[in-house]
Amino acid sequence: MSDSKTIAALEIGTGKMQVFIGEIVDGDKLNFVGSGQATTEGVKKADIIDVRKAAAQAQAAIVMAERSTGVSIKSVCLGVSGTHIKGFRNIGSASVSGADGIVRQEDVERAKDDARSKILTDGKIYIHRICCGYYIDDKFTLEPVGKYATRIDAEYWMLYGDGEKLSDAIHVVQSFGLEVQYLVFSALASALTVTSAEQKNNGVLVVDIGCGTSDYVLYKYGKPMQAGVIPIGGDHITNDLSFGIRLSRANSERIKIHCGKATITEDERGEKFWSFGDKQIGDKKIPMDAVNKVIRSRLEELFLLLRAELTDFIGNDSIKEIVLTGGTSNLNGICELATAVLELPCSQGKFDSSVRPNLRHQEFSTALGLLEYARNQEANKKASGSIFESLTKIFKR
Amino acid sequence: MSDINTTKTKIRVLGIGNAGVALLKKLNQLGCHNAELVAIDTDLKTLNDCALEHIFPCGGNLTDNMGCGGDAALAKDAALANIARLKSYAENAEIVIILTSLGGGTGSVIAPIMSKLACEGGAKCVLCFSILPLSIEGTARAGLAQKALAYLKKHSNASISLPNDIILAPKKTPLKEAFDAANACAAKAVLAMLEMLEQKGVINIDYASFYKIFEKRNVDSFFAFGGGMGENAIDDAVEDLKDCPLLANKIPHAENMLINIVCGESLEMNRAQLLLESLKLNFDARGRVGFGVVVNHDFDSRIEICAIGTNLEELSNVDVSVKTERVDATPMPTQDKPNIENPTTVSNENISVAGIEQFSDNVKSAKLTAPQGVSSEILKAPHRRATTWTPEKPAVQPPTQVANPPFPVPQPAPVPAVEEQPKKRKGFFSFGRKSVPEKEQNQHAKQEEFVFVDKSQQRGFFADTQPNMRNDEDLDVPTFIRRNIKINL
Repeated sequence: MSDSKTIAALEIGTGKMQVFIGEIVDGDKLNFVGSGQATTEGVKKADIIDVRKAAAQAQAAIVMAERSTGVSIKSVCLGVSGTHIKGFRNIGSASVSGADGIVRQEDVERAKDDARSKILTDGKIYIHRICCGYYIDDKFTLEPVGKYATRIDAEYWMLYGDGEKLSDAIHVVQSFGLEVQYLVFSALASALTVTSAEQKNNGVLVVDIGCGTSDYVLYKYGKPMQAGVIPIGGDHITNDLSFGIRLSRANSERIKIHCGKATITEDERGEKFWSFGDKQIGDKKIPMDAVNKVIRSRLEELFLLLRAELTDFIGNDSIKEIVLTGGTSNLNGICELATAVLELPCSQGKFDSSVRPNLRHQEFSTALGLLEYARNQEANKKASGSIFESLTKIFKR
Repeated sequence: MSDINTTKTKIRVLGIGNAGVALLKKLNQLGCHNAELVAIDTDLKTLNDCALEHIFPCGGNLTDNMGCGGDAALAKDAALANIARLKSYAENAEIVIILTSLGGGTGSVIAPIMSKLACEGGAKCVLCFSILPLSIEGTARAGLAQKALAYLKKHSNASISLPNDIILAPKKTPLKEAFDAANACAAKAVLAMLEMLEQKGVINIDYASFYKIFEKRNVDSFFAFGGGMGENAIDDAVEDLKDCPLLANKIPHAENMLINIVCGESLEMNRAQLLLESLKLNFDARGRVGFGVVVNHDFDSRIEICAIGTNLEELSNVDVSVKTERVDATPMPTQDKPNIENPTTVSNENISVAGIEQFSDNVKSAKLTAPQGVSSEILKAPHRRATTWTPEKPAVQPPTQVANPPFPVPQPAPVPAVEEQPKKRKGFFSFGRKSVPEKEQNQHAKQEEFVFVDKSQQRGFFADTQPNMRNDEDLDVPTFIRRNIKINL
């Protein structure tokens, strides 16, 4: 008899609340069951500013998903993002204790404990403490156990966020009696869906450009090396456009989606289009060049900020490609612009063939990734019991 | 004594003379990290006490390392003997800040020489903070101080004089406290600027814009500070700044200015904006305005403002004199003491100061309008906010009174106040000039305010959220606005 567990992935995005329900069979197979969606209220720049409104919309999405599938949800895998999320590199070290100079598992554990034990102040809490690899006598390795060395260093990327804001997000879920089983940084989830194991091994930068923020994670040797948030998203482009071409927010959003281009050709530069298209009073012709200038300046800034954060990796061949995902990655010409600014080949995320065709949208990459993440965790639990340490610290209030 | 490194440093602060070194010491105590501090004096003892890395006793055998005792000629000889060394201190720096106290031998002679050397040595910005002697110290020192001041002004992007009389205004404070306060005030001003450049504050300015603010040489500058506390901290601080005795009751029409604000953590964005706005309006700044905001955790609701800028019109020193004259009506000394050597006669050697004549002319012309009062017998300095008379009248009248009589206006005549008066009456072409009537100025002010509010509030959709600061920029404000990209519709 097969053992199955239902889990819901909830992404509290700036643009929408997305719920996917999946069933994990035998601890390692994932069946997609159904979905629910609602527009978001009370969230700006991925930070929850009105818990009540956000909770109401999240509940609407969950109820919709439950109704459409007939499954009752007990626990949730929650994707988080926000301008408050930041990260830093931390290195813990231990000397090799054995007389023979061979690194043992205990030494590795001590080095890891040393790195993980850094205490945060000001009400900040860790979301993920990611082990990026080890150095034995300053030489990088992924498998230190069994090698000769005098000292072992464990390198960690510590991703933390504001305790209050994270508990707001958890509160949204708990307010209607659900349990948060996993708390996952959204870019880590997105990366699971849009990149292959090979890409992660070679070095790939995944940038999830959402509505409120752009979350990135950098993979190398199959492990996340760095993750963080650039507080610029699609909403910023819309806002810039409403200033730049002096139209309402709704119209700017429409123009961004239909006519917005991050890079344009010389021919398109002279083109103009009607702002409303109904030839009524107030309808005006807008030059393509103006729209492009506004969008390009904003996105250029985004990629430059990203470049500044990744100084350790860019320019020394550690990253082989960039994958863009998230709703804003659908903008025309954004990949070309990223290629130009970051000087690395860039493409939109591609989905695995196991993903249903109707779900292969960049907007869904985070929610799909959350299910995948939950499946990985369950599989790890099943396969190795307590030997493997779970990547996440499960957030308990 | 250690050698100065020859690679180009960004900022060098020179403390010259006894009081200059004391100022430098204060600056060092307050924690100045991004600048190279160099103490120069003829008195070896002062230098040994100051505990600074770079010291240069330029007295040597001439003064037996004892200081020159107010003898300008001796100081000049000492400077000439060590001219190469002095040159090395003045060169290879982008910003040179000179701290000195005028009136004594070393400060009055070596400070102008250093400013000249710094200008010739390619410094992009030379700033002078000079403390003027107390009136009780006598006219000889005052006269020497005036000469030196005029010369400093000519060879610096901003020359700020801090008349001791005025800084020490509250008469009942103990002497030591008062001097310490005066030193701390000047040191803080310098430190505030350095911190802004060091990017330590919440809002900073970069080197390029700093140079732009102090672009021209030989202009009149002003310096003022003020503070406020409690609920109305902002209004109080602005009022206090306007009442600062160094401005002598006349708010200058600033051309370019640099404003530094130190505040507690609790200062909100909109209040900060209000403050900057009202400052800009009050000073009627037409050109570039640089803002710096530093958060001090000890400040809570306290706010301190420090403003440094260049004037459109010649004034600050004028008014100091005017005001103090009004207060105690002491006659001014009109003649230089003949026995005091002109500090610039150094020029006939290898430093080449072009035209001693011109210099002395300048001294005279400066005297017509400006710094007299400071030099004069000020026995009683005004209290802050204690004044009862209106600022407008004395500000306009005295320069004309003093200006017209005996001295002919010299050819180079870098004294705008003298020139402006007649032009005003010529009518037709004069309306766009510096001396615009009061009404016109107010119109300017209104427009400026509008622009300022506009720029930082363009957050639109994000108006009700926390500012999104990265690298001192609010990312919620459209990029094309911050980058000044023109969008043609």
